[in-house]
Amino acid sequence: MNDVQLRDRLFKLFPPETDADWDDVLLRAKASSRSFRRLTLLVAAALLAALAVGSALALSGRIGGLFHGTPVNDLTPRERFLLSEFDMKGKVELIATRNATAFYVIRRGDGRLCYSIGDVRKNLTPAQLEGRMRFSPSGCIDPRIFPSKAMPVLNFSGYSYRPGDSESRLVGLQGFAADPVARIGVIGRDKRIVFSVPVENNVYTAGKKGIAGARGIVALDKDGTVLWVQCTAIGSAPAPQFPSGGCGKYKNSPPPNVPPVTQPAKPANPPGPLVVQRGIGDGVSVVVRGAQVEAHFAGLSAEKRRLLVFKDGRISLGCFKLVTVGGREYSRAVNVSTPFAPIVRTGLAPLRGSFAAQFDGCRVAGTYGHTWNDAHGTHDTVEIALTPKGRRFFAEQAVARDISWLARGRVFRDIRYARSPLSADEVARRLGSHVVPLDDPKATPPIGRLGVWVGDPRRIVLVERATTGRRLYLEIRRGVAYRTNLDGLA
Amino acid sequence: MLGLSKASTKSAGAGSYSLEVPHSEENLLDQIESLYRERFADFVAVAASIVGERESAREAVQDAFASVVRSRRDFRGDAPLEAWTWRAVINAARKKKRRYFREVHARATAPSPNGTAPESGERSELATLVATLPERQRLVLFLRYYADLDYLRIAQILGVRTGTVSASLHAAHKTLRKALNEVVER
Repeated sequence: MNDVQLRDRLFKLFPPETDADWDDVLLRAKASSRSFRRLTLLVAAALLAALAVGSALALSGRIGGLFHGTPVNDLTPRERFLLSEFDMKGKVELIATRNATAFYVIRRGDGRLCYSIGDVRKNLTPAQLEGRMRFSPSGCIDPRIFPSKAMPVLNFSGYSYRPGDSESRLVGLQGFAADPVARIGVIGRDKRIVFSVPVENNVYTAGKKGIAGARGIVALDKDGTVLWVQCTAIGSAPAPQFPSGGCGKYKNSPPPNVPPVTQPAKPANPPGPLVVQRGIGDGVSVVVRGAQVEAHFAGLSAEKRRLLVFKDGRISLGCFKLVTVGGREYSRAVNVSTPFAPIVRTGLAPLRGSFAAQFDGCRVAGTYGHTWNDAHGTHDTVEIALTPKGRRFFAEQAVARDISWLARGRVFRDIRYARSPLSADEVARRLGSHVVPLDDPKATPPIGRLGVWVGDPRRIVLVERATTGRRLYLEIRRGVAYRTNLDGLA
Repeated sequence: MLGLSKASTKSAGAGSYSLEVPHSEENLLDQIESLYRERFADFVAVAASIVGERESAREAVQDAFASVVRSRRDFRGDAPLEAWTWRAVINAARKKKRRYFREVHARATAPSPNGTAPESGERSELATLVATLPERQRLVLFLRYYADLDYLRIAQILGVRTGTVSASLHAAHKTLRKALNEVVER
């Protein structure tokens, strides 16, 4: 019996209580007499009795099966960084897998639970393991809301509509469900259940099946009784192809009525002294004061100015910080789209939390596109390093982009997927003077050149050394990225 | 602005809270309420592991939080609020257990943690086993596996060293594993 099994047995033995009563606590805190305590005890007992004869769903305030799975201990640094960025940092547990789909719960430090659905990670190369995020649709929810009688299902499916379709389709039917839910049914265009999937281990999925004309979903217990309805065919439809007019006898369940938890407002600016940074690069000077950035473009060359305002006269101005997670470096950045002007002043407002100096660098980008080895190079239009770390990052990012853009480029497609591998000399000849052939996969070309090595079985190694001295590489095997150290850079 | 925040120590477990000073009484009350709402099930389960009876455990949690609310002015903020609250719950449960045993003088069988009639099979075996563990082992077991607290936080709550937590958990785990394996093999 391992830790997880022991924990599950304890949860079975001690089903979690759901009848928290804060008002009772406050009453007890105010009252000092024994008689008053006895009275509240009686009231509590009466409430408990009422709950006991209630529906089976009354027990679903917290369900062990939904909250505990197998701990996931192999999160990559990239996944840990991204979870942190999306405010989902916590303990990750795998609840269940269905074919190629994995269902996760993430227990945040503040007690909130996040749910996520992703792919089962198998047969991945080291580069794919590092570069792919295992979590796809994700969301965090107050455990008082889900799972509960008012909301026994957390549905992750969506509706899709492509121009030309006569009606929208429900796609990716999948999600999490509380214990009493045995099946999830789909309400069709004739307002009857046209399709259903079983709920096993608190999860359900219909794979990639799409259901045209779907109007909503229902949660059914093992006897087929409707426990909960989510009808989306209400109100005004965003397009004629989306259903409206209700779901017939399946009435939408009322939303959960849970008092909001008082969350103290976070200060707009973090406490502490205001950090001021100044920097200059590519003819642009910036002054950063906390979360405010002021950029002066007086020294910008005409060519860069033309690039910046190329499409719609707007620029993307942002600053970044480098953070190290699991020994890997990632950049946290906020970019703001703003009209170009000789002097641009803007605030860096992230989606959550605060984001203020000290930064490692700032940059300005336009809306023009890139192709590998084009005249615009691999640097951003304007790069302003504010720290040595920022300067190093800009240098290595440019080299990483050189490798990455080539590997993804149209010009490289025939080489990458060639059945009979070309020689390194032939590859270099096709790609031009920027690329040099290498004799050994561990060799490194001179700075400013991109080295290529080709070998069996259909193995290609792209290598380049940054001006910082760091060797960056991407190894491709049978057309698939096999191993790389470009993570966090490109 | 006062807010709930994750404990600053690296090893703080899930649902850990610390206070950002200065804190007002009203804000402290909000934090106590949040803690109560989010961890109610854990508090009751741990209290039940002491009292051995569900209804009394729930009562102990209610009493403990009433006491915490009343005495929140005494909270100095030099330890996490969660640890302070856990101690109050454990003390209230111990008090309730003494009263419970005074009222129920004679009990033929070991107390059922669920407060229900003894069940047959492995489940009742586990209930009996848990109930017969020494109190510290039982507490550590529940704080670790049910409330999902880390060793440091459990040590803070129980006022012992982390090594003691580790040893108690190991002993409890060993006892249960051995006994349950025997049950399954029977």
